[in-house]
Amino acid sequence: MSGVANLAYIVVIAAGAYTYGILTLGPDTGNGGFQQYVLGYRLPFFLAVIAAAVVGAVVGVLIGVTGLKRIRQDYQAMVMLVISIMAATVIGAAPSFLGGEPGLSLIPNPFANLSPATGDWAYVAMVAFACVIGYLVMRRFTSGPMGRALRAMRDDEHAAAAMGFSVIKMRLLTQAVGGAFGGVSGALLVAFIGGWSPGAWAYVETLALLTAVIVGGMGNDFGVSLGTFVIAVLLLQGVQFLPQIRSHTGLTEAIGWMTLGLMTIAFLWLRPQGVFRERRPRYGQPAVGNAAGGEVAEGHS
Amino acid sequence: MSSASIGGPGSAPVAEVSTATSGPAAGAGPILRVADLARQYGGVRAVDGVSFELQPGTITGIIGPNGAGKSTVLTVVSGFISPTAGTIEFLGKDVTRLPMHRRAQMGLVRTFQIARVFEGLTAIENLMVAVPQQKSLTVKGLLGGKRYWQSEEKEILERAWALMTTFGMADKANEKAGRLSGGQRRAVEIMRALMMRPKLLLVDEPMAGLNPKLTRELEEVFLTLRQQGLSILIIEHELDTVERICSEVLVMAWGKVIARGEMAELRTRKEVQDAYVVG
Amino acid sequence: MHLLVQSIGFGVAAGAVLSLGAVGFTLQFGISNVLNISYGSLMSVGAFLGLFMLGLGLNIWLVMVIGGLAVGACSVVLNRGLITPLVRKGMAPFGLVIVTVSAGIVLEYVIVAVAGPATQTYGNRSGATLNFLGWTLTTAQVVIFAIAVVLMLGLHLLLTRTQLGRAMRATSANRTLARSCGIATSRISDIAWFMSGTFCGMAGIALAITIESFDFTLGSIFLIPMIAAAVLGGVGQPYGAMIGGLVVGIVSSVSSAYWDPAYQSVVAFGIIIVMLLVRPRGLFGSATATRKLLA
Repeated sequence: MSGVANLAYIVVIAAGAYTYGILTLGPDTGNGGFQQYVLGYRLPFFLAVIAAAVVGAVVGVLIGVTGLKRIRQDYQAMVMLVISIMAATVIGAAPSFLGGEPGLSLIPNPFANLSPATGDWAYVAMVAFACVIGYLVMRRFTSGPMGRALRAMRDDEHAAAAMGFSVIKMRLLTQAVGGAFGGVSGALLVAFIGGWSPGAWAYVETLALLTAVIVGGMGNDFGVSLGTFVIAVLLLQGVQFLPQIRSHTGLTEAIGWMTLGLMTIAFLWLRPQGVFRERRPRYGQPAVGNAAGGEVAEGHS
Repeated sequence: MSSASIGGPGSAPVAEVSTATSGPAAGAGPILRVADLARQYGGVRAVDGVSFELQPGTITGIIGPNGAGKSTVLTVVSGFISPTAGTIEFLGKDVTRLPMHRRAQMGLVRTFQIARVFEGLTAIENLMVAVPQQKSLTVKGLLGGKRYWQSEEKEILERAWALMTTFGMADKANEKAGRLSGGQRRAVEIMRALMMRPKLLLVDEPMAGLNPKLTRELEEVFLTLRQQGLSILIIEHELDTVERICSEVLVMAWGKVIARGEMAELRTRKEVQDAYVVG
Repeated sequence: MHLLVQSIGFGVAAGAVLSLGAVGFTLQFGISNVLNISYGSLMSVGAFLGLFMLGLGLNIWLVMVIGGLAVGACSVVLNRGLITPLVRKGMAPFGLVIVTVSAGIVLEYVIVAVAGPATQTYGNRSGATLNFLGWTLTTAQVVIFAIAVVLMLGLHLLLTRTQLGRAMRATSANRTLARSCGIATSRISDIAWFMSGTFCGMAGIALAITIESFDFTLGSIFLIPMIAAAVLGGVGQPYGAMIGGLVVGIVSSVSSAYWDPAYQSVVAFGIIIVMLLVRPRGLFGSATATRKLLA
């Protein structure tokens, strides 16, 4: 979003998921002590989601701070990867903090009192609603003057600073907003699947996010949304419907990930702009008086 | 490339673009005061004790051989790098420790030696983005939405179009800046700087790579801007240009100012000729 | 005191493997200027190739050599088939990182598809226990250390005493200049990828020998301390990586003796972050390296 290579985004999602988990699970002594974690509140769903957004934003900013140092793009990307792997390792190693390697389970579903089928549909409806809201909020940032400023900063930070933009402030702002989004998505995810552990956010999951962005077209909201949908539905879930190949268990999953990796490479190679290009707004000449000539520069390519 | 011209059809209307705020403030002191400025790179003293003052509404040139420290002076004054010693006062305020973007907001605006445009933005977007304190970029603007910043945005668009028209680039307005030619990029960069309503413009070799016709047109632009009250500090190799537009010239060599005065007179001075073989 | 001495001994042994891996990583980066994240996965490929060859009944040290060379070949294929064409197309460094990340994941899951996701082991190959300077080490650890030392010496002689080595150093310092001096930089690049892959494969097998069990994520987990070693020594600096590997090995071994071993890799992580934020050129990096790293 801000041109910062964020390969640690999965950490933000995880932070949201954990926040939601420890805020809704209730005290860890309550369920026979088979899992351990801190806090242990029983907050209502919406409060927990909001908390997840806040935590996501804070974590996003913290990660963003490491990206402020002017080092090579690829170096920065490597740092982000390392951060995401390490975060998983650290949390996995501390059993009493966030459940350690086994993670959290039995996280309450907000629609638990409905029948499973209705509950699932209610959940789908709620997530769809959240997506619409998210898309609208996103448009605020990516369209109009704000989007223009962010794209300018992505193109040339020094020139943007020479024009009076506080690059640091804007970067951290985008990190915070991106973080809040990640936090909410983590919370929604974990409320549905009911459990969360370091294994659920290994760095391969980062690749899935990246593929979505690259396939959809960086800098095009609609493209990214569509890309995410295609990746999530077709690849990661779709492979389960392939005829089971007898040899061994991990094979279908392996095929999914291999396709994902090959797809990313293929897109970067053949169509780096993604399926949908970044849209560039066109500005017509305003119809006010003194503009000499009055020639309208619309309709060029 | 039909419009290889900067002045455009009928170069006169530059005057219609009111850029500087209210002209030179009468009786006010110098717009920029630089005292004992020094900058070291490792053991090299790129700038070694430079002092000068700029008066409002003047064009001042910096000339000197390669490696004299001209660009470093400009870069330090703009805030892109900080000096190892010395002070910089802008509009009577000490800005030595202010970051570049704060100086830009005060009206101290630079362009780059190699024109830097936002390549992914269209030409006109490049101009429109150059208003850093627009309402749409505040938290309030984000929450309030279009209604809150619409009128301001309209005014920005009008100003951008007016500049585009006077620079004869209206037909390139929606062209991606990355596809523009060198001269057009330079024009976009200067227009972008003007969008900020600067009080002092720092330009680093704006004529490099321009043909003689474009050079003359850009000179006209600078002279018109000066009449409107803008001050300009310009680094330039083309001495004829310097003679035509600059009222005062600083000659730099080995990180120091070795002479100052009017160009015509400087050409005759021995120490200048020694340091900088004048044509 | 005994604990300290002993953990330093383990650190040196682990550091030898780390150095092997880090030198390969840094050598290839220094010459081709591409950060190869799939390096870890190549290491896993090496370990699994080793497993396969052990199944054929080959001698473990022979396996290490063959496995290393095979991974070296894979590495050249990766460079020729994927990286070089993309660099020629003008892909940005960030794009290349994503490509190597993707390639790494594809490689890992190729392993899963062929050998399955289960945990594997080479069996107990540590051999007799030796006592030396108060250190208790296994024969395997000592042999691996010796192999590492021999390889490093060989690399040193190659870089300093041969025409090829000079050409490699020239390419690393300034690729364009080297090319204009008549050095076939793309061939040098291939050689660097081959040597890097060979070091990588051997390190993978050495690692599999020293730890009890592993699965397809072996290399990508080990990538972090390797990057830490390379970054500590200054990325692109083979000698820096040798020392960096030993330092990271000893520091994490000592810290896990006195602290929770689960946090062992946190030390490596800390080293990476601190070095990149404070001194990105590394302890032994030159000014040239800095210019390469700062955007």
